[in-house]
Amino acid sequence: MAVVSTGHFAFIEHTADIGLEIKADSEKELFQQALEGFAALVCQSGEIESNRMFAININARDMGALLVEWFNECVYLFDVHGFIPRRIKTFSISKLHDGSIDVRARVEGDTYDPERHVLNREVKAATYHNLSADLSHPPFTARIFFDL
Amino acid sequence: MASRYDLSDKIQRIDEWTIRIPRQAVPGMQVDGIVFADEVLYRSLLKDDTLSQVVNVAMLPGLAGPSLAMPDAHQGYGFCIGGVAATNLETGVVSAGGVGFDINCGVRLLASSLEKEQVRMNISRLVEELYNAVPAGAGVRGRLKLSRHELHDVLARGASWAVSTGYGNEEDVAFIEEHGRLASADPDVVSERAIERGTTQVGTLGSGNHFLEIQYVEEIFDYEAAEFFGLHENQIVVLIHSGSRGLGHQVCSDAIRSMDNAMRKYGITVPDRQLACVPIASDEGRQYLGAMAAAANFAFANRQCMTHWTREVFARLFPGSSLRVVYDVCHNIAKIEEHAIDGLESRVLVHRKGATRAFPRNHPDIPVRYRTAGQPVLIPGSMGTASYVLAGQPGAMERSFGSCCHGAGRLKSRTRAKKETNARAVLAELQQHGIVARSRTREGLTEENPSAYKNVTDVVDVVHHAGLARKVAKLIPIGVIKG
Repeated sequence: MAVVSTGHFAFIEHTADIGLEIKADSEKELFQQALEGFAALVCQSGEIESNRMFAININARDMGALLVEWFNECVYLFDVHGFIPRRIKTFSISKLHDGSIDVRARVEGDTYDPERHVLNREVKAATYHNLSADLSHPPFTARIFFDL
Repeated sequence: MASRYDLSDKIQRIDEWTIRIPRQAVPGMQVDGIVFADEVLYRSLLKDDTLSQVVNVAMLPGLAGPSLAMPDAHQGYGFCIGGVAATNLETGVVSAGGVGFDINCGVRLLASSLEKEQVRMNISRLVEELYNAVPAGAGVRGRLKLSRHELHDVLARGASWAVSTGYGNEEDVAFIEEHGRLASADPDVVSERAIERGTTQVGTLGSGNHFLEIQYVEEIFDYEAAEFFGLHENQIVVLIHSGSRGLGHQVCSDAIRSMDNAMRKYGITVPDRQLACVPIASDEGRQYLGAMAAAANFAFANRQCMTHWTREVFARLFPGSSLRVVYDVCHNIAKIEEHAIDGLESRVLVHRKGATRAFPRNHPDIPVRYRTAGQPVLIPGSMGTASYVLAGQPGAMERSFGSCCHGAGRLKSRTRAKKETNARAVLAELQQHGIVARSRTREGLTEENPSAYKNVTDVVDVVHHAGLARKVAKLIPIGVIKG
């Protein structure tokens, strides 16, 4: 089943590694695009089914750092559980009293299966290098680089 | 966003092998930038943000000397890859980004008792068996699943854990940087997540630019040093390039988050968030250095286990043969070392991000057997091209905090490298050169094809002429295993 998406993501070249540029009309869509971008980074081909769900609860002091956390959750879930994310099932975002931002989400996806999936590469981590996230008004944009 | 500076009229050439970015070039620089590059390599640095990243590092607090870039330098994130910076223990900082995500990514060289002609006829089978014996690639689990207690032991003891568990022998650890164990490791500060990521990854090669290659010694430049290192022409050797896997990546991610949050408390600002840093003596700094050393020990154990399985394959295919550890060096590390600063012996924290330690002859940290030759420095080339064995020179202590280059250095992005070729063409080209390759993924071949890298010989010539390390031997691959 295709994920309905109004946003998009695109890969950016970088001598050492690779970046991702994301555009979306809502915060949830931005994080959905981030999931899809991560899945495309890791998995070259094969249907990503929705047969598992993980909770992602993260907190950071700004939107850029929040995206780094979001991706690093994906890296961790893939590394430990072989989880390839597909779509956000539930999502809430809120600003806390200390100014930090909280995201609570449930994410559906698949377990890496060498019979069904062809992988591209490992992602070591999302970085803060040239990180940007503009959520002042739609379309929301973000740019993030990965260490591969 | 980190700035890209216009340095065109500010850069000074010191000699044929060195350029300087004076501290006056950009406001905020605390020290000069020094880049080891001839004119050809220097021109390649102008195509990306490498020089701006050297400038950014020169803005960190408490630097003990210039912000350095080796001749294989290329744009990284925060620090450039190929960057070296030393900070004062009292006034300086530690930056997790200055070590990188793959803590103690490094290279190990094994010297065999076999000659090229003995192996050449059997190379396809050797590659196949090594490919099956050494887990490689994304999503591949290791042969070991360690308990928490065992992993704690790995983090505390490094290569010695592997040897005491039956993966190798006592002599191996004598020929590993720091004897395969950083004593400052504190396994108890390694996060739960890092532990989870590490339990199934001891003894795995990984993907990206990591590899295991069967090579032969094509040329000897320094016969005396080669004899000390146990190398001779036509000898078969094995080069293993891998690091601390997901455990190290998680340690770095944890630390960058912690440092990014703590910087305000210490009044530190940086021009690129990936340079997040804290005072060395702070709680966050001490915690990171303890976890980083534990991850480094994981990497030493990782390469030790792969050495053992490589030996098993060689013993099966070539009964009676042996593989001796020549040396094992770290590429991504921060270590407290003694260096002369303004004529005074001082202890500083040396960050090496894609750089190799290159201590000269008579340095006490070199194995006794190599002390009259200098520390072996292992420089892998790009896939299918030459690698080099060098020996540390006194110039490294005088000019680069005992450091030199770590490889060929990337020239093209992975996307561009992939666009310009395909896996079949890469395999055919390797085959034309008599090289048998196995890779878990097409990307392992296309993104790492030799045209994506600088010419390793040009890089090595610069460190040789700049007096950082001298050429000892040139190695040519005949078999490649990639993730």
